[in-house]
Amino acid sequence: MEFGPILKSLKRRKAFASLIILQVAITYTVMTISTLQTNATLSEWNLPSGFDHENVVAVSSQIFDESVQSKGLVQDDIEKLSQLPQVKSITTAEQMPFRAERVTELFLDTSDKAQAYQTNIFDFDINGLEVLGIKVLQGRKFYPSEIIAIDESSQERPSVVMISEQMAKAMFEEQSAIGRQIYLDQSASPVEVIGVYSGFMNGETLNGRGMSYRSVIRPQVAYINGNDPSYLIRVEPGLTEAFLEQIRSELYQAPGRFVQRVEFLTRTQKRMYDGRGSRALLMLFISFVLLIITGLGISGLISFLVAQQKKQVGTRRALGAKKWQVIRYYLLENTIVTGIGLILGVILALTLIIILSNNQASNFISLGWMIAVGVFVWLISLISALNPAFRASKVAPAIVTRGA
Amino acid sequence: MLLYSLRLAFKNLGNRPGLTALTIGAIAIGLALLTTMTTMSYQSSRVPVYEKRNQLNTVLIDTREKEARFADRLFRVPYLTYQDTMNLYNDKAIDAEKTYLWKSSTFLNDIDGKVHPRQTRTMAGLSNFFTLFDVPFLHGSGWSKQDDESASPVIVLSYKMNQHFFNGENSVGKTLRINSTTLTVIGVLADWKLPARFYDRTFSSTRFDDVFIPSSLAMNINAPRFIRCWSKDNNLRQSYALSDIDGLKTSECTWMALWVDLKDESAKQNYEEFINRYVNQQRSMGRIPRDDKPRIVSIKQYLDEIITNNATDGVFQLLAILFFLVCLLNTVGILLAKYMGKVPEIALRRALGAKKHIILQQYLLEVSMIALIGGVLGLGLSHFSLIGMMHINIYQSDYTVTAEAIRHLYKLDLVMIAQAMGIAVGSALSVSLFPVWKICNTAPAGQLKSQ
Amino acid sequence: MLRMNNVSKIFQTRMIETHALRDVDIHIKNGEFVSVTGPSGSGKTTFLNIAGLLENLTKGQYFLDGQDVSQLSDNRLSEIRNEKIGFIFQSFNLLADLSLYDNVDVPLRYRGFNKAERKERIERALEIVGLSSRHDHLPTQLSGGQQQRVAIARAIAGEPKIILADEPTGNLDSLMARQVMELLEKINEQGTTIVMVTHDPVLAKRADREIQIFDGQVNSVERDETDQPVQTNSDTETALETA
Ligand SMILES: Nc1ncnc2c1ncn2[C@@H]1O[C@H](COP(=O)(O)OP(=O)(O)O)[C@@H](O)[C@H]1O
Ligand SMILES: [Mg+2]
Repeated sequence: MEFGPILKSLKRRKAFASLIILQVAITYTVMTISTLQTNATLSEWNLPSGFDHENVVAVSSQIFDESVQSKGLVQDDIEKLSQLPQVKSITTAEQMPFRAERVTELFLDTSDKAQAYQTNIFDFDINGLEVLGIKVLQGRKFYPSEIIAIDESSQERPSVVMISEQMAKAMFEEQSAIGRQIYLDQSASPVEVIGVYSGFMNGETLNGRGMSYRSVIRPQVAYINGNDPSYLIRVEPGLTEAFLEQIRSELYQAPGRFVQRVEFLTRTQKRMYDGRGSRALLMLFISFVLLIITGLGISGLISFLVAQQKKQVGTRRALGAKKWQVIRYYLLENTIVTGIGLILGVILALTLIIILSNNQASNFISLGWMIAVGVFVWLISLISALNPAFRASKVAPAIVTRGA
Repeated sequence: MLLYSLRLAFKNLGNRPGLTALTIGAIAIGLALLTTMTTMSYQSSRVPVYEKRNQLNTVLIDTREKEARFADRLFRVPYLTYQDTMNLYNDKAIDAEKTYLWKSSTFLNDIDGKVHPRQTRTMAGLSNFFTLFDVPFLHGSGWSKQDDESASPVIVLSYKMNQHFFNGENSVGKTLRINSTTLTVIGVLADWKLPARFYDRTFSSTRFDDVFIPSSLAMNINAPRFIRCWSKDNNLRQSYALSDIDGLKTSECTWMALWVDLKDESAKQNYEEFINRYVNQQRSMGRIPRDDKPRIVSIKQYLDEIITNNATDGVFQLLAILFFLVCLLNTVGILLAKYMGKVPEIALRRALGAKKHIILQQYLLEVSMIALIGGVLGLGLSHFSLIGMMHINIYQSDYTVTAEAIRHLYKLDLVMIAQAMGIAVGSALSVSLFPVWKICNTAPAGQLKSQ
Repeated sequence: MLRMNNVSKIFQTRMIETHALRDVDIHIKNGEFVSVTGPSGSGKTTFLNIAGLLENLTKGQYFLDGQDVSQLSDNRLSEIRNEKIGFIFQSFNLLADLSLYDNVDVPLRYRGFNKAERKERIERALEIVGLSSRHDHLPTQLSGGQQQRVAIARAIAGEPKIILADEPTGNLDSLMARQVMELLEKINEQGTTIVMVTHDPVLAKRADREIQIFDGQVNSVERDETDQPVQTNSDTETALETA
């Protein structure tokens, strides 16, 4: 192959070579930063929900009129809503999947040194598991008698809970969780784990700490004034906004309350991811546009050079170069230039990432992705060079004598 | 001669129109992205209450527990406790106008339930809030000092809330309820074009307050508070936030913002010393365990600090700059290639007596023309991409912000337009100056010989 | 060495057909030094291009070194050009980006010689043309005559059987032209067949044999014959090509 001569002739055309090198380097940098960022974002946030979250409606409302009694209102709501033909099952819900915020610490004993396990506690009534369509992996479901209604005056609290598979693994590792006692509050009595279910996405807070599927389901309904009545409803497939509007107006029948949100859980999920996701995707899109521009630019530049080097190409052909050797020459030249650009790009990208990420670059940098992006940029650049290279190979050798 | 160069430059643009289009397109797209990003950051870094940006200062005292993570960003610095706010507000040692406020979330509803209730961002503060921060009124006015003291049931509505409940009519004197308390509308704000909600230290530029009520009233009706507590008090947080206002007032939980009008540097220094003395005195009484120095931060300083710390915007901006750079190199590369092909012609013309600068002039004219056309197209594009970014923002915030509320953040103005055109032409010229100079310098003789 | 039977070349453009060669029969023997003369536009270059496999013929048969080359693939043609033919052009056609050494190297690389062999051949070729001390110069740093000598080195480095030269002295002054001519004669003495198009009647006469082309038709003239039509040197084409 002809590395030597190509390098020499590149040296003679430093201006153009460096223009392409710089373009490739910067394009690579932009692509790498956006790919790594997108990758980091999506791998952290675009996790499966862990349950059949379609066709579940989340309702949250808030009572602002102090004269409204919570218990009556909630019971009325449940009755009214379950009479709707589209509703399959409904539960009261303290905290919802995808947006649980309140973090509770669980303990295995009451000592000061006991390890704390962070979790989200979800309070559902007897229909909770059915509404979410969660599978019980070990143990059993709640009995109706285990659902405890609490209000300001009541002392009784649930004595059993179910925990998610991931929670069980965190607390008990390989041992069975069934029958174990855990403390939801170190100053109160412990509760017994009666079942383990496959975990579901809890919400942004714990997801951000890498504990996306840790949860506890507690069989509890709260009728405390000032609490916000919230429900999860499993509905028939294929319903639209109109149905949500119907629920909204049902709820507004009772005065003294603000209906904050009536939405499908798909939207709750979207909200959890989208702020970050769409930013990341936008970046990716922008860098693709950039790659196309760079590709076109390289293509344009090379075809210019080829046009100017027609006589040279003709001379090479006259001296015995075959068509594919001419093509190879240009592709090789392109690869050398792109390669230098990529090396520069790697340096630039790493520098910027290290500066931008405040020494947290290691969370970010992925060698695999960096190589993949490099190969991709090289391929695009190669494709850009292909057309002009082919055009060069079609230069008739007779051009050398025709004085064109 | 210029005319001749101009004509030649035009003729050059016309040959190989595909590549000319590519160069113009590249400049246009690159500039559009750059302008979009700079416009967004420029608009979102507009200073609120511009005339008083240096004189309105908020007081920051880190009263958290010793173990709390160091507050390296402004949003981590807590609000003030009730005690500190009151001590500083009531102090007469330094003569400066002060006001305090806190934010709440309430439900605004009409008594007969004809209009659906709204959850409303609520500012609870003092009567001088409106005068100190130059708040514009459409109808009526703010409340009086007297109302502050007697916790009068009065409310000032934002323009938007007045639209929602009263269809934009003059509602002064009418009544509305906050939660279950009936209040009389005393004023309606004009469409307050505040670049950022600075006064409660959120600096949100997309969500604005819906209602304004006296702090004393808000405490009386138990409007919920957004509070941060020491971790040992975390179990009391709920009740402090929702019910136990007396407990909250004596606790170390933080929730209030205090602003002081300090007209000049020396006043500011005075006040800083005063605050230092105050904090030391509190420390001697066993409070304020951390040794972070208290700070007096003006609106301007606050904003500057937020902007320099906004990493995501930084990345976007950097990418936009790099993007533009590639587009620029692209264009210049193609133009140079075009000129390289003309080296023999240039050499010939030089041999025929054309001076170097004439050729340079012609090239620069052509570059400028491309940059100008690309610039104009790019501005047009950036208008659309700004609208696109606005919709992305609305989508990202799940339609909880409206286009009206954020449109101002995505608006091109003359400054931005001029800057964009300047960047387009200036950078295209400066990047290509050197290589062109080299090309023009090619010795006429050598070139004529080798072909 | 080279035999053309009834070869015709027609250039088909949108408006007109140009008959650049009409039923040409030419036979050139191994080791011959043949000059080709004729007025501008008469078809000399076309003949040389076809002979050098740079252009296809429209009609007829062409044997090069005993092989019928009228039906070969493009790749095969490249190989034959590379191995058997050396070219020398009026405008030198050196690759401007490459040094003398690398210019001479170009055909050898396509030939697939290893590095040592290439080096040896390049050095020998440059030695023959008297430029061995200027390896690393670029073409622009040389005079026209020197450039043409590099082109000759490039043509002979692969030890071709035949050298085709299209007005090799057309761009040179008479002193340099004579040097180039002497070089070609020296190469011819080593046994290489040479076909040279020229406008210079003096040089043309120094060849073993002169082929005259008029309007696409050949008329071969023995060296001893006198009273040939003499070409003027103020040919328009030459002037154009210099520009
Ligand atoms: N590529 C071509 N297309 C059309 N006509 C051509 C082409 N090349 C040469 N000709 C024509 O063929 C004839 C012979 O040309 P050429 O062989 O170059 O003449 P010479 O070299 O003797 O001056 C001329 O009339 C020329 O115009
Ligand atoms: Mg000719």
